Parts: sequence; C-alpha cells; structure tokens
Amino acid sequence: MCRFAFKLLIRMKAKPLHLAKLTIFILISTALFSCKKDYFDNINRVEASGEWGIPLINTNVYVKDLISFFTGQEAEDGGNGLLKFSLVMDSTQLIKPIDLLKISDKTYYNSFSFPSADSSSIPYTNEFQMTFYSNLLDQDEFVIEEGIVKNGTFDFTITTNIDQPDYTIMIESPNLFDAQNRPFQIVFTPSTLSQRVDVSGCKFIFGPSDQSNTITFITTVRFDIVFVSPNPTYYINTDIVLNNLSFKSLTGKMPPKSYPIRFENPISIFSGNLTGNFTLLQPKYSIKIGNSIQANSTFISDSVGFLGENTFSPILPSGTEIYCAASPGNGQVEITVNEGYTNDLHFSENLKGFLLVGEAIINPQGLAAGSITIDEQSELFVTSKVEVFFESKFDHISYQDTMDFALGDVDFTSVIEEATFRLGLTNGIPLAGNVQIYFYDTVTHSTIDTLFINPRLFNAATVGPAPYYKVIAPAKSSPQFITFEETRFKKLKDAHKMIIKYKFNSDDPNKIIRLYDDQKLDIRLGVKVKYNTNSLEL
Amino acid sequence: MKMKYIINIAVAITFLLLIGNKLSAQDSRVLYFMKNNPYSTFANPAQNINCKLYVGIPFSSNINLSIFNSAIHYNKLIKVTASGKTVTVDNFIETLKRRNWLNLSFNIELLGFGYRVDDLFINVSHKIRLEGYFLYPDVLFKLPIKGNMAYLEKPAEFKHLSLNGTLYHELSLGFQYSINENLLIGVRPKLLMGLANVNTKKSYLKFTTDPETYDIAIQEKLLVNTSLIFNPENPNALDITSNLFKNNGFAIDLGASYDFNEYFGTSFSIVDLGFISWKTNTQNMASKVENRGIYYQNGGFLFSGINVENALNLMSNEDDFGGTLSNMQDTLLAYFPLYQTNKPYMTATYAKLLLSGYYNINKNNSLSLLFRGDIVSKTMLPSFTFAYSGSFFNFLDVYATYSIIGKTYANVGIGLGLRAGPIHMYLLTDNIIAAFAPLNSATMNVQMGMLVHITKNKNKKDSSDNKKKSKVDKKKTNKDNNELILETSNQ
Repeated sequence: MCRFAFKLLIRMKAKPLHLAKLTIFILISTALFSCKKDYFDNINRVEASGEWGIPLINTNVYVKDLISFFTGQEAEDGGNGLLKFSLVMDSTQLIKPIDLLKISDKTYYNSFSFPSADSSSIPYTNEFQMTFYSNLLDQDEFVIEEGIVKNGTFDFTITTNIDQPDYTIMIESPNLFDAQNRPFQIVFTPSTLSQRVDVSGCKFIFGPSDQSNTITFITTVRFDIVFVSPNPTYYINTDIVLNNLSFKSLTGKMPPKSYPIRFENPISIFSGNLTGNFTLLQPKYSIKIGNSIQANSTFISDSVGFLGENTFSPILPSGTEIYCAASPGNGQVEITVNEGYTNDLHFSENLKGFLLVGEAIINPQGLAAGSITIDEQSELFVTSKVEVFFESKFDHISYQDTMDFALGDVDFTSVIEEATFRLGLTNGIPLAGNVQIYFYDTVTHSTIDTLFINPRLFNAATVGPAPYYKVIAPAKSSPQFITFEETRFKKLKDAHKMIIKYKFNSDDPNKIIRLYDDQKLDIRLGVKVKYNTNSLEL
Repeated sequence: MKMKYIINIAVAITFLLLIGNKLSAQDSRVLYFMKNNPYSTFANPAQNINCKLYVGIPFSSNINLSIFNSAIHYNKLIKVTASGKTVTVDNFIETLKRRNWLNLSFNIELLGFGYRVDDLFINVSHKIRLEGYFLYPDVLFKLPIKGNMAYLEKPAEFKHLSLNGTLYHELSLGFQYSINENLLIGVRPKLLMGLANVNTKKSYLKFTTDPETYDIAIQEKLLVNTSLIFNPENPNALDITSNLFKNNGFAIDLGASYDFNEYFGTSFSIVDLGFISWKTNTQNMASKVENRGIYYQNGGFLFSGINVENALNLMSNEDDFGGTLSNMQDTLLAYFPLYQTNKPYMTATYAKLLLSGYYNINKNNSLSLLFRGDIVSKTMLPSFTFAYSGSFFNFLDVYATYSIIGKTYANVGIGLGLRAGPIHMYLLTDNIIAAFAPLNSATMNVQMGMLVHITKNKNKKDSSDNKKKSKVDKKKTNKDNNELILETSNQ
C-alpha cells in the first residue's frame, strides 16, 4: 500500500486525477483501520467521588419535656408561663363512719314481781333502762340524742309464773318509734312469750336522763283474776338480746375527738441513675381538709415537710392549727389553707419523701358546740399540696446509664470515605449541658472511644434581671462534629458497652434562674457523607 | 474519456458508501460554500449559484444527518488501564461546560426542482425534517455526582436544561432575484406541517445548600409541551392520517448577497424563521413548588431536617421502617406536583443566522469566513467556519473547512462535488475526523445527494454572473449561445 502511494505521489504533479484517487484510498484505508468494536468491554472500575450534606433532624425540646423526662412528673403553668410542679399527697380516710355507727351486741335482763292476788295493782307496770354501748359511745363519750336505725333486731324472751288463764304482757318504749313515727309496742300472750322485733328504719329518741345513751322500756302486765293463785307473787323475767344494731345516723353531743394522722409519700425524682443538687425557692404549700361530718374539725400539724436521708425540711411550722367548719346537711366542706411560702426546698439525691404528722380533732368545741350528726357519708380527710415553682438556685442534675452495645456484623462500606455528623444547638434554657457517650471494652476494661471531642454541648442562655429572670438571649453553641471513618468504625466493633453521661448545670449555683414554658433547646442534626468509588471493583 | 468519468463516479460512490456509514450528518456548513450546488440556496436563498435547471433524484437529492455532541466523549469517560477500563466520572464532569449540547438533525428531500428565468431563479422542495436539541448544564451531572457540598458558595442552578425536538414536513417555494450586478436577494416561504414535538417552555431549578446546617432549599419551575399526531395510548392509522395536516405552521428563509468587486463579497441570511401551531394529542406538563406544609418557605421548598413530632405522625407502625420512609417520601414529593393539561401551543422553528464574507483568489479558488448561529429556546449555538473552495477540471469541486462549533475546536470538514455531465453528486461533512474517531468527536455529520443539474450557458452573459467583469453585447450572436451546453463553466 505504501509503495503504491509513493508511486502515485510522484505522478501527482502531472496527473491531478491520481491525487484524488490517492486521497480517497487513504481515507478509506484509515476509516477501516479506525474501527474498534470493543469500546465498552472489560469495564471494571468507576472513578467517582463527591460529598453530600443532608439535614437530618430539626426539632425543639421544651424545658417542660425535659422536666417530665428527668423527674417523671408533669410540669404545669404556675402563672405567666413560669413552670411549677405539684406534689399532692392524700391522707387516708381518717374516719370510718361505719365503725362509729355500730352498737355492740348485748343481752339485757329485767325482772320484777308483784302480788298475785292484789287486783288493785293490775295492770302492773315496770320500767327498765337499756343502755347502748360502743366505742363512740364509751370511749368518745358520744351522747346520743337521736338515732335512725339502719339495721338490727331485739329478741325478747319472757318467762313468768302467771297461772291465770288469760294475761297479756306489753312492752313499750317512749324512746323508740317506727318508720311511721308510732311508738314502739309489743304484746306478749301466754303463747307468744318469745318474739323477735326488727327495728330497721326505727328511730330512737334518747330523752334527758341521768344515764346517757339509755332508752326505757315499760312493761305492763294485764290479766283478770279468775282464781286465787297458789303463787303468792307473780314474776316477769325479760331477756332482751340486742343483735347487729347499726345506725344510719346519730345525732348527739360529743367532747372533742382526736385522731392521730401520719402518712409518708415517697418522692422518686432522683433514682440510682439520676443525681442532682438544686434548691427550689419558696415553694407554696396548702393543706386541704375535707369534712363531711356535721361537726367542726381542726387539723393541728406536728411535722409537715420533706424527708431526707437524715434530714427534715419542714414546710409548715409545728403546731399550726387549721379549722374546718361543719358541713351543712349532707354536704362537704373543703378548706384550703394557703399558708404562703415556706422555706427554700433543697432537692438532692438525699430527698426521700414527704411527711405529714399531726392530729385531726372532730368537734373541738366539745359539748359547747351543741348537737352534731354523724352518718354513713361522714368522712374527714387531709390533703397536702406543695407547689414547687421552678425558680431556683441550681447546681446540677446528672444522669448516667450503661447500655449494651454491639455493632455485630455491620461493616463500614469502602465507598464511604467519611461520614461527619454536625450537631448544632441553640439553647434557650438558662442551664448548660454536658453530654458524653463512652464506648467501653469490657474485656480490656478500657474506654475505646468517646462520641464528642468536647462534652460541653451548649452553654446556658443569658438571663435577665429580677424579678422575672427571663431569658434575654439564647446561647448558640459552636457545632459539634462527629466524624466516622473506617478506622474509627473498626475500633468501635470492640466495644461492648455504651456509657451515657449527661449533666445540666447553671453557671453560678447561687444565681437565681427561672424555667418558663417557652424555653426550649433547638436541635439541628445534619450529616455530610464523602464517598469515593475508586476502590470499588465492579 | 467516458471510461474516466465512469471510474471517477465508481470511486466516489465507493467512498460515499464506506465513509457514509461512519459519519452522521447535520445541516452542513460546507454546503454554504458550494456555489455550484443548487442546494446551497437552502443555507442562503440569495446564494449566487450557477444553475439553469435542476431536478433532484427523489429521496436521494439531499440527505442530511447530523449529531452534535459537545461533551459526552469516549476519552473523557473511559480510561484504559492495564487491568481493564475505568469509567472516569470525575474527569468527565470536569470537562463539562456551563452549557452542553446533544443535538440530532435529519433532513431528507422527497422531491425538489428549480429553474431560472432570466434574473429570477425559482425552486420548489418538499422535505421531512427532524431537529432535536438537548441543552444541558454541567450541573445536571455535577450535582448528583459531586454532591451539594460543591455548591456552597453559589447555588446549583439549572437554567438551561431543555429538550426541544420537532419532526415535520416542509413544502417550500424559493425565489432568487438579481437586483443589479452586485446584489442578489432571496426569499423562501415555507409551509410547515408538524408531526411530533417536544418543547421545553420553562425549565428552572435552583438547589441551595446552607453551608452550616446543610438545609436544602429548592425552587423549580417546569413547563414541557408535547404533541403527536397519534394517541400513544391508543394509536391507530386513521388517527394518524387525519392528523397529518393539523399542526400547521409557517417559516421563511431570507437572504442577500453582495459582491463588492470581483474579489470580495459578503452575504447574510436567516433561515427557518417560523412557527408551528400544535393541536393534536397535546400534553402540557407543568410543575412548580407548592405550599403543602411546613417545608414550604419563601416560594420554595426548604428541608431543614425532620421534626421529631411530625415523624412520629408519619410512622405507620413502629416496625415498618419502609412504610414510614414511603410516607415521608410521599410527603416531600407532594411539594412538587405535576399538573397535566391538553392545551394547544405554539413553538418557534429553530432559526439560523448566517453571515459570511469571501475572497476570490482566482476564478477557481476562493477563501471564505462564515458565522452561523443556531437559535434554540432563547439560546444561541454559535459557530465559525473558515473555508477553502476550489474547482478542478470542470467536474470536481473540493472544499476544505475548519470550524469552531460551540466550544469544540476539532472540526475539519471536507466536501466533494462531482459533476459528471448532468449528474451531480456531492458529499460533505463538517468533521472528517469523526469518521476515524466517532466517539470522541463533537460534530458528526454527512450531507449527500444526487441530482440532475444543468448549469447556465457559459457564453451567454447575464447580469447575475458576468456584469462585474464585462458588459454583454446583446447583438452578438452565436448559435451555440442559444443552445444549452453540457460542459459546465467554472465560477
């Protein structure tokens, strides 16, 4: 081909047509040789690299949520956005009216006799008293004036030697009335000397008497003397058995009745994992007494406050008296006593619970108060409420926990050169935060790595002056960068435990801060991933 | 003598067949300089051609196929190493320009002829034309590959991403007239009948990343229209035939050429200036960021991370991460709704501006310089061509060109015209290098054709040819002058 071309070139000057032929020939040859059919065979690698940044999380955490998370308690609005939480501690029901209204079972005996032949003494009458007994009546010296029976029975059994053919023995009481307000009356005949009387729904009216809580039964014997009895005297023996007598209500008079009160509520703000030290300023307390006894009552405090390991922080001075008037009718009276603000409340991991010790006195004025009524609905309760406003001198709250950690079969892909997480925080809470996560090897007992270079994640927001101490400028922290690359990832595979530690603290434990419901922590988390496929074989 | 012509033709045809399958073609710039080829009037209707009469061989008179690929080249994408081949994506991205083109053009004349009456030259042509332009910014590839971290100082913006293409047939009637010995003007009105179209009316996307928080802000606007003469979901022949003439349009070619003297001259033309009105099976797809919730801000989409509370609302259940992800995806996509309507619309045809100047070395050789600007969707693709034109032995026209097209510089063109009696064959390409390295060439085109071409009588002097050299003696008679001659005269 080359020799042919050379010969043609020599002839070019004289024969231009040959020049055209040569040109075409060269073009065809070159075109044929330029064919390549394997342009895309055997591709085994791709060279590509880049970096993508993506925002992951943009969220707010309000201080209210943090309080709930840490303490397990829900914070409330204490007015103008200032947060508070309330500790409400109920006493048990102090008085159980059912016990008070029950009368002890008892058998009563009455016996009398009269001449059998003296017709002038017929009808013969006899009075005997029946006195009721119970704790209320005996120990508490309750003098019944009136009582409505809920349930109960009297079993009457009469034995007599009257041998006249027809006689009646009637027992009646001026103190006992049936539901229709008819006086009690029961008649015995020779064939009905034993009878049971159900006094449910009956009313006892106890009249003035030398003996309190006593009713009178009058026995009247009637018969016609048909023959002279060989018995010179007739006797009447009456046994009355009182069973299950219980009142629906009792009205009467009573001297003051004292009930000791003691209850203790554990407080579990701090646990084994959570510790801290802060003082909440001047918590507000209130004592609520609920009284549905139709009698005045008084609560006298002995010890009311917070219990520590070996300490006690009172919120109510010992000997404080709180008076609650009688409830009208069947209603209930509640008295909430806001005694104002008490001493600063120091919270630490030593805080164990709330203690209330004192006594409740029913009818403190005693007999001079007049008649009181106790019924089935009567109850007396004492509730303590402590409102703790988040105005404090704050030192710190710390949390530490250990969790299992295992990357297992997860591998760091060779395509990703590096992944960097960016954590940006803007803090509108007047507390600074330190967080660290330690990756721990339990075999070598050593810390392999920590998540953050600097555990100080955010500073406290700037607080304004008294009296509101509102946040005037949030603190925007420098972002934290957490970078993972293959080397670091491989190291973490040796970790078995993850120890989480965080701490919130104020800049100055003696400085007052307030937590408001609009304070929040803005969290912005993004990730930047750098990739490179050069090491990847297809 | 006759044998020589046969051998020449055979060699030319062989060349055409072998080279043609290696090259693909567009509206060749070389055609502009072919003053012995009546088809040069399609580049400038005022082109001063030596033609008395021509008839194009049906379906073979003017075939034009072209691909312009400014960026996606083999040697930029693939690297051959000892162990195999590597796809060099990074390298490819570095070589991308701010605007990159991938264009396709195909024209075929079904029927064409022209004739001259004194100073007036008239020609008729019926063609099918396909023109497609894909303009894409470097950001299209750079953003997904290099990532948004490469666009921190300046946002990633897709201002010039567009796909435009039209398939239509064109019926034209061209007029060329000599005003005087120096000035020629030409006009070619054209009736257009659209067959298919895709038109990017609006295309804008701005992707901004905050350097500190990586917040992503997206603004976008998109409006793409399409039209077909058949319903793609239910195509049928009846539909096609009834819609063949419904998308009507009009275009015009205008041109002028002026000879300063026998050595210097200039010409100007604007071709394919027109429009088509699309009515059949139209679809208009529009998209714009809409307010669908918390991720809408300042008229755009702003994603700054998941709000934990909202994420909990999206969770279908705790174990179904895929479901949650799907819900999140649906939530985000809702901000970019796509609306579809079926309204008619209008598109402009892809006009071209051509401006040239020439210098005649002698009667057979000349040098020329051409500027051409292709106008697509408010963007111009410019090119400059330097050309040599030569005519040899009364039958061979040779053209050599060098073009800078867009920002591609390796475009060496050649053109050959063979005039064997009344048979005229031609083959042109703007880039012969593409024949040998097709995957690395920006411009690949070929234009070829065959026609019956009868030139003007060389002894007959008329105002369009010889007035600048000498005055014609109208009284001079020569019986040969009244006869059509078979031998062509040179320029």
